[in-house]
Amino acid sequence: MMFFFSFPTLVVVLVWLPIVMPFTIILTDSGTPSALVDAPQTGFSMNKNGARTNPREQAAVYEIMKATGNGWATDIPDVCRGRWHGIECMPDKDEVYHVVSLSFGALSDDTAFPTCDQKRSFISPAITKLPHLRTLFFYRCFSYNPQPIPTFLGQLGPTLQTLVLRENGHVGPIPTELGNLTSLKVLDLHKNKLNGSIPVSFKRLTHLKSMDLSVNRLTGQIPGLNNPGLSILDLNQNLLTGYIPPSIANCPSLLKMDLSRNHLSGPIPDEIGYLRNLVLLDLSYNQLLGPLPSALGKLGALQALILKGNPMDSTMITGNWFDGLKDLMILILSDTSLHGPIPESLGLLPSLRVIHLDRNKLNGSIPTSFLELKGLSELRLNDNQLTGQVPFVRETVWKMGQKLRLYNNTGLCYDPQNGLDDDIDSLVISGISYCETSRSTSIPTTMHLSNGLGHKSIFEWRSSAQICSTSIGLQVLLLMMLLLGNLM
Amino acid sequence: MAFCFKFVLKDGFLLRVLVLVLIFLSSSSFGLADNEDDDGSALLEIKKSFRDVDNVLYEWADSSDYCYWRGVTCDNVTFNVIALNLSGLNLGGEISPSVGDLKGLLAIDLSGNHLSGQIPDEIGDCLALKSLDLSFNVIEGDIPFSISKLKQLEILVLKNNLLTGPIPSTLSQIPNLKYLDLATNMLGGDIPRLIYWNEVLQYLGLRENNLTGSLSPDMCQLTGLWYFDVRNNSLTGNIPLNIGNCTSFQVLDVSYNQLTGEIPFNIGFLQVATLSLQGNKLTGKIPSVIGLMQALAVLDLSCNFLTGPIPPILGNLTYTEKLYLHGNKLTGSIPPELGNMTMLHYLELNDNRLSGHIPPELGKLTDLYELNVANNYLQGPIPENLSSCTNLNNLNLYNNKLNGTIPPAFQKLESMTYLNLSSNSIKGPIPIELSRIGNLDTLDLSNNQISGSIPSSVGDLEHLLKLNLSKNRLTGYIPAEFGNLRSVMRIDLSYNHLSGQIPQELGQLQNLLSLRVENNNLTGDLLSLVNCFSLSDLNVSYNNLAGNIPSGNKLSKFPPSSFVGNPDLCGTWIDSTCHNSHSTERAPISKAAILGIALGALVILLMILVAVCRPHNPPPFSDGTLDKPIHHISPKLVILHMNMALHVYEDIMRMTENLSEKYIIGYGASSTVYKCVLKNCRPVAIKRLYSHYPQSLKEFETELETVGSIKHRNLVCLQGYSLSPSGNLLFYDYMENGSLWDLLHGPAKKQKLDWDTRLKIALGAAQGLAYLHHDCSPRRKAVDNECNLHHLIMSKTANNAVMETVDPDISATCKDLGAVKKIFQLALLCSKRQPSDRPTMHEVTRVLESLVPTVTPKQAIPLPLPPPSTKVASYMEEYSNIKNPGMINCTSMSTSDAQLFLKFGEVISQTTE
Repeated sequence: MMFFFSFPTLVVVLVWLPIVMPFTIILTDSGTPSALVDAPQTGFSMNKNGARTNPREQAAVYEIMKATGNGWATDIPDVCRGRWHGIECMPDKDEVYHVVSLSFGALSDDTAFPTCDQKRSFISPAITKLPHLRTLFFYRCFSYNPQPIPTFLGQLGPTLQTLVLRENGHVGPIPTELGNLTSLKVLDLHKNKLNGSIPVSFKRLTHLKSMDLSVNRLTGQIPGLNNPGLSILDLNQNLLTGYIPPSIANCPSLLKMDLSRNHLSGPIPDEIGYLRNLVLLDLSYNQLLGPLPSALGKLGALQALILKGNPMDSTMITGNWFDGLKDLMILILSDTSLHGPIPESLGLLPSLRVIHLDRNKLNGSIPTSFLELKGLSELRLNDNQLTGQVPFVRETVWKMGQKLRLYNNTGLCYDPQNGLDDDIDSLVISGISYCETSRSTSIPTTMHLSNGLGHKSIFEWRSSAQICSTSIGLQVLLLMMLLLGNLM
Repeated sequence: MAFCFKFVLKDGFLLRVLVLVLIFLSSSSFGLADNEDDDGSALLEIKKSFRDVDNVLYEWADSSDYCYWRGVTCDNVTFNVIALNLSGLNLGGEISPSVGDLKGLLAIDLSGNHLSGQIPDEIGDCLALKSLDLSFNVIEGDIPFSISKLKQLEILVLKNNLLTGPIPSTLSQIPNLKYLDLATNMLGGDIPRLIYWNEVLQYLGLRENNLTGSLSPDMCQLTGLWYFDVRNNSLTGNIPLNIGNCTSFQVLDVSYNQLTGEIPFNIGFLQVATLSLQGNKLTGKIPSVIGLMQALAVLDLSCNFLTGPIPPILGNLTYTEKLYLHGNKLTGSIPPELGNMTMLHYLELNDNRLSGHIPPELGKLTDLYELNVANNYLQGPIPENLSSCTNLNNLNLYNNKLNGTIPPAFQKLESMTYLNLSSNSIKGPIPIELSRIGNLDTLDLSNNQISGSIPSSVGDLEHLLKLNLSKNRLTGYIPAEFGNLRSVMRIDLSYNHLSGQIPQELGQLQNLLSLRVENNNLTGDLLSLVNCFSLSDLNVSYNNLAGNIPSGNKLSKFPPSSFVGNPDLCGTWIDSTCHNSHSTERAPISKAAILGIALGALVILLMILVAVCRPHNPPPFSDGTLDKPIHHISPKLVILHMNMALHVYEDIMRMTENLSEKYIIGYGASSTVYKCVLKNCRPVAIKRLYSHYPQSLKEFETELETVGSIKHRNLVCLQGYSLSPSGNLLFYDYMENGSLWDLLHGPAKKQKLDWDTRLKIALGAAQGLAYLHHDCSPRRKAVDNECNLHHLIMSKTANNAVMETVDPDISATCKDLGAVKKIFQLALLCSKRQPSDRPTMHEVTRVLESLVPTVTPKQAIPLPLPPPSTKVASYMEEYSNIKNPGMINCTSMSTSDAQLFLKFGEVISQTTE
C-alpha cells in the first residue's frame, strides 16, 4: 500500500516504519536543505529500533540545558528518546535523530518546557552545534541576568525558522547577524530592553511571516521593508521616529500592522492602500498628521482601525474615506483633533460594532444613518461639539446602556416625542437635555435631568468620587489641625 | 474644642492653613495619597450594583478595612486591592464600571454567579490584570474593545454566558494571552485569523457558539497551543491541508460542525491525544496514516459520510482507549488487526455498511467495555473468542446477518450488563449458560430463529430490567422462575410458539411495566396478573386464553386490542362471545363496588405517580444503536470504569434505599458521602454534591468525563457519575482509611504518622498530581480543575509540612530536621499567590523524591523500559528510572534540587519577610 502525492516542490521520501507497511510521506515544509525525514513523531515507540541521537547534538543539548540551570538533564541518556518537553527531534534517513526544536521557560503548566534559572541563565554557544535546529524558544529566561542577544545566533544560518526570545530582559542592540537567518519565518523579540535601531539586514529575511519587536526601546526609523510574505508586523511601544516607510507596499500579505505607541510622524502614506489583506491597523499614540489617505478605503479586509491619540491637526472626515471598509468592525479615532461633521456614510458600513470618535472637535449632528448600525455595541461621541437631536430610539439607548457616551456635547438634545420620555434614565447618563421644539410646548425649556431618578451619570459619578476624596482630604486636614493646634 | 479656639485667635495662621487645605485638596484628587480609600469606595460601588440576595457581602461596609472583606486580597505593602474573588456567591445584578478604579487588580474571578448586563468598558482600565474570569453568568452584549488594552492579561475566561457579536481581532493585541476560553456563548462571525498569531497562546476554547466561516490555515501558527476546541459551531469548509503542522496540539476537537471534504492525509503528523472529527460532513476514506498517531487516546470519526474500508493499520494504535467510527458509510470487513488495540475500551462500528465476519481476534481486547457493531451487514457466526473480553459490559450485534448459535462460552462475560443479538439469523436454543451472566440488565434476542424452550435458569438473572425474546421459534412453557426477576420492567415473549399458562409467579413482579406475550399458544386465565400493579402495557392477544378478565383492577383498564384473538376470554368491554352478565348488576351500588372504585382511583393515582417518577425508558425494540448519552432527561448513570459493574441509576437507589442516612459515611462542606456495596461485592463511595448551578450541568458532565478517564495509583479513581434531582452523584473507589485529610486531621488520629510515612504520602500525592498535570493522556482539563489541584497540593504537602513543624510528634520520628525545613520551604513555594511562581508538580515530585529514603529494594533496581500496558508510566516513571540508581544517599540534595531551590530562593526570602 503506497501513498503518492504530487506537489511539485515537495520532496518525496520513503519511510519504513516499524510496522510492515511502507508509507510515502511528504515534506510539507521543504524550505530546509537538511536531509531530515518528516515522519510523524510517535512519542511512545520512537527510536526503539536501535536508532540514536547524534552524539554531538546530544552533548550540545546538555550544554544548553546546563546553561539554563537544568543540569539534571545531563542524566537523560538520550534526549530524543521519550517525549521530553521542550525538545523535539527528527530522524534522518539513517535513523539518526537530530534536535530540531528547543524551548525553555515557564510558559504554563500545560507546556512544561524546562524552566530557566532567571538569575544565572545564558544562551550557550553550544547552540551552534545543532545544525538542524528549526525552532529556538526562550520565554522569561534571563530577566535577572541582563544580556545582549548573542551574535552567534546568526550562525544558525539557513535552518532556523522560528526564533522567539520573549520577555527575556535582553539588552543592547539587535545583532545585525540575525539578518543571516535567511530561512526565518517567525522572529519574536517581544518585551525586552533592546535599544538601537532595527537592523537594515532584516530586509534579507525574505521568508519572514511574523516580526514582533514590540515593547522594547528601539530607536531610529523603520527600515525599508522587503518581506513579501510578512503577515504580522508588530513594533508597538518602542521609540521609533520618522515616517511610516512607503516600502510597506512590498508587504502585501500583511494581516496586522501595529506601530502604536512610538514617535512616528508625518502623514500615513498612500501606499497603505496596497495592503488589501490587512485586518488590523493600529497606529495609535504617535505624532502622525492628517489628512487620512484616501487609499484607506481600499483596505477591504480591514476589521479594526485604531488611530487614537495622534495630533491629526484639524483633519476633517471626508465623506468617502471609509466607503470600502465593508468588514470594518472597530473604528477608534478618539483624540485625533478631528473636526467638521460626522459623515452620513459612516453609518452605512455594515459590520461596524465599535465607534469611538470621542474627544475631538466634531460638530454638526449625529448622522441618522447610525440608526442602520444594527450591530453597534459601543458608541463614544462624548467631548465634541455636536448639536441637534439624538436620533436613537429608546430600544437602542436601553440596549447600549453605558456603552453609549454622548456627554460633554452641549448642543445635543433629545426629542421626548421620540419615545424616550418614559425611559430617560439611560440618556440621563449622558447628561442630555430635552430639545426645545416648537411642537412640544408642554415640555419645559431646556432642563438638565442629570440629577433625576437616583441614577448617577458617569460624568456625575466621577465628580462624586472627587467629592468623596475631598471629604477625606478634609478629614485629614482636621487631623492636621488637631496636631498643629496641640503644638501651639 | 480647644484648638478651634486657638485658630480664631491667630488670623495669620488660619490663612496659612487654608492655603494648605487647597494644596492638599488639589493633590488628593490626582495623587496617590488616598489611593487606598479609593479602592475601598470603588469596592462599595461595586457592591452597590450587585444584587446580593444571600447577603454574603455583609462585611463590605464603610467603616471596616476593606482588605479583610470577603473575596478581597490586598497587596501587603501598598494595600491596593490585587485580587477580587467572588465566585459562586449567588450574586445578581451587574458589574459596576467602578471596577476600573481598582488599578492594582491582578485577578478578577466573578464566575458562577447570576451577573447580567454587559461587561463594562472600564474593565480595560485595570491595566495590571492578569486573569479575568466571568464564566458561568448571564452576561450579554459584545466582548468590549477595551479588553484588548489589558496587555498583561494571561487568562481570559468568559465561557457560559450570553455574549454576542464577533470575537474581536483586537484580542490578538494582548501579547500574553495564554488561555482563552469563550465557550458556550452566542458569539458569531469568523474565528479571527489574527488570534492564531500568538507565540504564547496555549488554550483556545470556542466550543458551543455560532461561529461561522472556515478553519484558517493560520491555526497552525501557534507554537504552544495544545488545546483547540471549536466543537459545536457552524464552521464550514475543509480541514486545512496543513493541519499536520499543528504539532503542538494535544486535543483537536472540531466535532459537530459542517466541515466537508476529506480528512487530510497530513493529519497523521499530529501527536494529539484526542482527535474529534465527529458530527461533520466529511467524505472520503479514513487516511491510513491515522494509524501512526500513536499518542491517540480517543479517536472519534463517527457520524460523517466516510466511505471505504477501516484501515487495518488502526490496529497499530495500541494506546487508544476509544475508537468511534459509527454512523458512516464504511464498507469492507472489520480488520482483524483491531484485535491488537490492547487498551481499547470502546469500539463502536455500528451503523455502517460493514460486511464479512466479526473477527475472532477481537477476543484479544481484554479491556473492552463496549462493542457495538449493530446495523451493518455482518455475516457468519458470533465468534466464541469474544468471551475472552472479560470486561465487556455492552455487546450490541443488533440488525446484522449473523447466523449460527449463541456461544455458551458467553457465560464468562460476567461483567456484561447489556446483550443485544436481535434481528439476526441466530438459530439453536438459548444456552443455559447465559443465565450465569448475573449482571445482565438487558437481554434482547428478539427477531431471530431461536428455538427450544426458555431455560428456567433465566430466572437467575435477578438484575434483569429488560427481557426480549420475541419473534423467535421458542416452544414450551413460560418458566415459573420468571417470578425471581424482581427488578424486571419489560418482558416481551410475543410471536413465539409458547404454550401453557401464564405462571402464577409473574404476579410477584412489582416493577413490571410492560408484558407482551401476544401471538403464542398460551392457555389458562389472567388471574396471575391481578397483582402486577405497575403494569402499564399489556398485550396477551392472539393466544388461547380463557376465563373472565378480572374486573375492578388495572387489567380492566387496558384496551380491547390487548385481549383480542382469545376466543374464550371474556370481558364486559369487548364484543366477545361471552354473555354480558355484568350490566344488570350496575344499578345498586354496593359497598363492595364503592370499595372497588376507591381502590381503582388509588391505582390510577399510583399509576400517574409511577409514570411521573419513573425515568423514561426508550421502547425495547426501537432503541437503536445510536444511543449516545446526550439528550437524556432522566437521571442517568454514566459509568467510566469497568470495575463498576452496575447498571442503572435505579440500582444505586435501590441499594442505598434512596440514599438513606444509614449509608452515610461522611460529610463535606458541599457534599455528603455514602457507601454502597455493589452487586459484585465491591464497595464504592458515593459523593453527593448539592446542586448549585443547574445551568452548568452540561459542563459538569464534560469535565467529569475527563476526570473519569484519569487513572493513577495515587489518585482516587472516579468510576462514574450521575446527574440526578437529588444532587450530582460521583462514584469513587471506596477507601478504607478515608482521605488523607481525615488521616492528618481526623479527631481519632488512631495511628500517628511518623515523618517518613508523611513524606511518602506527600510524594505519592505529588506523583499523582504530576500525572494529572503532564502524563495524563487526554489532556483536557479545565482551569477550574487546576485551581482545585493547587489547593489540593497545598493541603497535602503544604499543610502537612507546615503543621508538622509545630507538631511535637514529628520531631520524635524525624531524624533530619534539614529535610523538614526543605519541605517547609517547598510548601511556601507551593502556596505562592502567582501560579507562575509556584514550582511545577514535577519539580515538587523531584524534591520529595530526593528526601524519601529509598529503602525499598525494588526501586533501587534500574527497571527496563516500562511495559507498554502501563500507560501511566510515560514521563514520571521513566524519569524516576533514570534518577533512582544514583540516588542512594537521600538526605543530601542532588544538584538539580539545589538549583530548584536557588531558582525559588528569592521567592522564599520574599515570603519569609
